[in-house]
Amino acid sequence: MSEKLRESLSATMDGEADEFELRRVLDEMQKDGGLREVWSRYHIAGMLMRGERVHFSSDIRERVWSQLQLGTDDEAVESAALPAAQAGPADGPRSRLGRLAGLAVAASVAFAAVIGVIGLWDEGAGEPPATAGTVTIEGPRVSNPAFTSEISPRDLQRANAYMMHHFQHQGMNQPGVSSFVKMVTYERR
Amino acid sequence: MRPARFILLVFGVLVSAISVADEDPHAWLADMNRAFSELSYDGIFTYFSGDDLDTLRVVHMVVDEVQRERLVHLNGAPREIVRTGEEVACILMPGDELLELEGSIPSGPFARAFVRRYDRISSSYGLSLYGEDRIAGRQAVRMAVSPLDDDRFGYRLWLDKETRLLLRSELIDADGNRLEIFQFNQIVFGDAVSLDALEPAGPDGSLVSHLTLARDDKTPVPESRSAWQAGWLPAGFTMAAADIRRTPSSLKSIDTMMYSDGLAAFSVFIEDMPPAGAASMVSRKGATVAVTHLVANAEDEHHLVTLVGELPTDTAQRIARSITFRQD
Repeated sequence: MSEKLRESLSATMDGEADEFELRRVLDEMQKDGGLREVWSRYHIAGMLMRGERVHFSSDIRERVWSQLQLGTDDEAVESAALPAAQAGPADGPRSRLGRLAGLAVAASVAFAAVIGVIGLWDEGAGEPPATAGTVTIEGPRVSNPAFTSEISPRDLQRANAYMMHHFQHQGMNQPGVSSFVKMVTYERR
Repeated sequence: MRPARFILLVFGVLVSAISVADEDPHAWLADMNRAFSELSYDGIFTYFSGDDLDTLRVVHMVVDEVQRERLVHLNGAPREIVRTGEEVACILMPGDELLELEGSIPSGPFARAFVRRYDRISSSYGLSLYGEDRIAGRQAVRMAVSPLDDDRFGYRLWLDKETRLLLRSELIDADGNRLEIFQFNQIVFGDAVSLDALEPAGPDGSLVSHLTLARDDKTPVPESRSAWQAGWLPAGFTMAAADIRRTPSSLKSIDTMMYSDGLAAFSVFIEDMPPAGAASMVSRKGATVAVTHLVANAEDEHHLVTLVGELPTDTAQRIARSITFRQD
């Protein structure tokens, strides 16, 4: 891996990459499985350093990766109403700018997937796990075909939106500095 | 040190320790609540949550009997919240990721909820005052708010000795890890706070979005009218508000319910199963956990439950699993 690419990768991790750096990293990652491994290792190392639990099956990593690859997939663009709008009408969602916006969103959502999500949990289990703090990550028993074992950008968007709603509701109902702090400091990653 | 002075010093420390320990911690909490809404203050504080550290400024004043407040994000994306009574405006720059979420957040006025009810918390938390400290150059009294079970988090509070305003707080889990820290670095009170400081100063081109609190006549739906119920709640939690809302982007309705034990709160959102499906997942940021879970109504139609709140993960999952359609 070139020094320049390593720098771009690290900037992407820190959320400081400009769109072209991000684009380069994503393009390289598409071609290079080794680079994807480095990307995962950086994140897992970061999580361990912060004392977070790391429970990732390769399956989830693959899924996150496939979301990245799609870039302009309808879901990512649709869930990112604003960047898509910023891209302007140009010549449809496949325009260069539109694709870039889609990629940026897919990437940031994917990073959130790696950073924020503890994991999937087993819907089939009757009682919660006895050990405190343990989260099951086996795929849920799929009794309804609509219920998936895959986390999509849409799932994360939904969880974030509800989190925001919870903060707003609390903020409106409390005196003082309150939960608006959580809203104002909100960052996806 | 001469013995007489030493004795005086020891005596002084004992007297101050006794004077604090003798006071009722519940009264301190009630005073803290009053201080937040009645005092004029202007301060800079840091807020640490999960692995993010932020700096914010807060200005608060009561003008013509109306509470006014301004909260300014001093790092990263320029964001401001300006509150006048029950109207709240959020000032953002175009392209802010918060805007992206707005389309999927249920819209409309927010239901009134009595989230913080300090008179109720004694059944779920033990309160104690334990000494003094110095925060933001001011003398503070320390208070521990310890949960009586594993289904909620604990707090350590530092209250200003003179005004009783909260100067620092820590939210801690059962292992003593600090999940959130809030701390004033600098603060002024009273006449030192200027009315001008309440004026929003959003950069050119900023956008404004509004939030409002429901009027008193729009009282929240009583619990018995909500179509859903929680089969299991940790002791002390009761429903604080229930509402049916719609997202701006669709006509889909979302049942929302908010529960509180007087201090901690969580919200439950129930929607139709999205056509694209959904994953059953758990995510956490600092003290806040979000879990999603599948549930069926009387017609056996699947719905998606999302629970968000300041709760331990196991507790949140157990509550989400217990949500059922009301059979009556």
